[in-house]
Amino acid sequence: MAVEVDKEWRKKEESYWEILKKYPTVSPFIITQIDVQRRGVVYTDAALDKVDAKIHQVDPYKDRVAPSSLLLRDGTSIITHFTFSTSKKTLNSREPYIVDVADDKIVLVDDDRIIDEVIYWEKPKFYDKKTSFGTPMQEVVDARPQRFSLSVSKYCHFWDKPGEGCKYCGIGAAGAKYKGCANERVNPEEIKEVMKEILKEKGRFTGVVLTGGSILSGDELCDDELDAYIGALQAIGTAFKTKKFPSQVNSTALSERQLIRLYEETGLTSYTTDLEVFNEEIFKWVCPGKAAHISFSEWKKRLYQAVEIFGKGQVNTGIVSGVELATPYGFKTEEEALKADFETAEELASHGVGLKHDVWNVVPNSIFFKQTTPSLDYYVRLTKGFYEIMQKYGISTEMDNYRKCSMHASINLDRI
Amino acid sequence: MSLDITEEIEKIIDDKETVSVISAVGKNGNPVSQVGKKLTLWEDGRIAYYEFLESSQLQKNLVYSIWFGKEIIISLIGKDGKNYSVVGKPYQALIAGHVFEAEYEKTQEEFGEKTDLSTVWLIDIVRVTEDTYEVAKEREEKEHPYLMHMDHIYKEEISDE
Repeated sequence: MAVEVDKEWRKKEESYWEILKKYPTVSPFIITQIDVQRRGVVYTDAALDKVDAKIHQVDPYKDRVAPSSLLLRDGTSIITHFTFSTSKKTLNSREPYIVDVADDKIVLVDDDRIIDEVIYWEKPKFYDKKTSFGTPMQEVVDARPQRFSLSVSKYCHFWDKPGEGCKYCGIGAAGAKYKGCANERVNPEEIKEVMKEILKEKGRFTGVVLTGGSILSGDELCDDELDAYIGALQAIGTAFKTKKFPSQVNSTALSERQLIRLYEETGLTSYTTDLEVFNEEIFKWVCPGKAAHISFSEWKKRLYQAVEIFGKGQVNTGIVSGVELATPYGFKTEEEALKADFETAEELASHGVGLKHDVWNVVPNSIFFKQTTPSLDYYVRLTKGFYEIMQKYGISTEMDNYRKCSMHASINLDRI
Repeated sequence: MSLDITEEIEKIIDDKETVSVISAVGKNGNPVSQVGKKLTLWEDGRIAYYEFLESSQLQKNLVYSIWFGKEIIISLIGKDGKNYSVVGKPYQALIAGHVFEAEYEKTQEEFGEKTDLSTVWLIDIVRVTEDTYEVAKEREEKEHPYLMHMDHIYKEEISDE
């Protein structure tokens, strides 16, 4: 369980409405996205009555099902299935938003005020089918409204050594059940079968993202992880007429030799490896496993090499925004955190590396489960800052835009 | 929800020979106008504008309009020369889901398989005015009787009496 709601929290920070007024040039839709991802959502019975499991993508919600995530009217997704308040009804220090029904419309509500209408994500047609191996296809390939994604490895080997998992991560501990199992890694034959179904759905997808837990084994560190990505991408590639197809790998930071193989042996068009924290000392504390195997400066060097291979605008890196303020070793103020974030962001962008941040949502099963996230003001300033730095260095955001991901508020700003 | 519109507007929107021009302002305050390849009127009274290019300036300006509550203008020019200005507000950028996918397939049937439908913009109609010259002139004479060059009301000659 995460921490209980602080009953006084609204008195301690500027409200959503105050932030809208404070930043009149920042899209209200993006501010909504950020705050809902920060605080999570719960559903009224009326809102759950609007869910149709035959159409919508759903997750268990008490004895019913809730939408996996939401869309706003402008096409921005609010990814809430990482927000565990949806599925497990845990809370993280602030009240979540409420999804309700008003005048027969599904609406997002906070503090008795309607924010806007929301739309439930729809599932692709392959979700209800199984592979010839008997695996539900949705366990092989996951979907967002306009992209599909898959996890090449369900277990992260940074968790092999006690205390080396990333401290904000709730997936690492949950992934332990897959360790050493036959389905720890994705089966390329099953991917091919899902691809045959994906082909039937015109107008649905604009890209594919591959990610997964780190695999440290191999002749060189992460060679086995590289092979897993190559195998999966080649299986996906069987569906395309062209060698290259809109795609992204988000992996452990691979070496130059490995990146060249990844680019040359597959149809991959873009590459991400997340630094997670833009400060070396805090990186070592929050992501000890990463730091033990690949230093902060080596991680950056590998990003710069990736730009040489994939091209400017085809490589980015992200942070779990807010963990740099975790106690006791994080920054003490939001001001200090933003200063450090922007300094590193400038350095990365000056080498052609794109920037993104994922709003930290404190999740159960993570080492940081008792922490509190920063204010909405911090998140809007960070979003605006990353966007402006990307603009300054002329780095395209298309590889990770609102259609291909939608989690990254700073990239979602780049639509006007 | 949009206001009631006349049968005449319905007809001109449905007529494939109608030329539609969509105009919207962007973040720098500049307007952009683009001839719409496909525009339909939906049962709920909203206009659906089909944007084929994700990177077009009009797409960016429509996003700007939905984000900041700006009005846009759709000019409809009929084959008979009649033209109308529809002032609207983008209500939704429809980019996913079974309704979008059905429109995507219909669009490809109509315009060919290479067509890539980016977004169906659902637009609330705020007001409609007819801008056909004769109608607009009559309206101006009625509503602004003193906006004109005076020669229109000069006598042919001034009597010496």
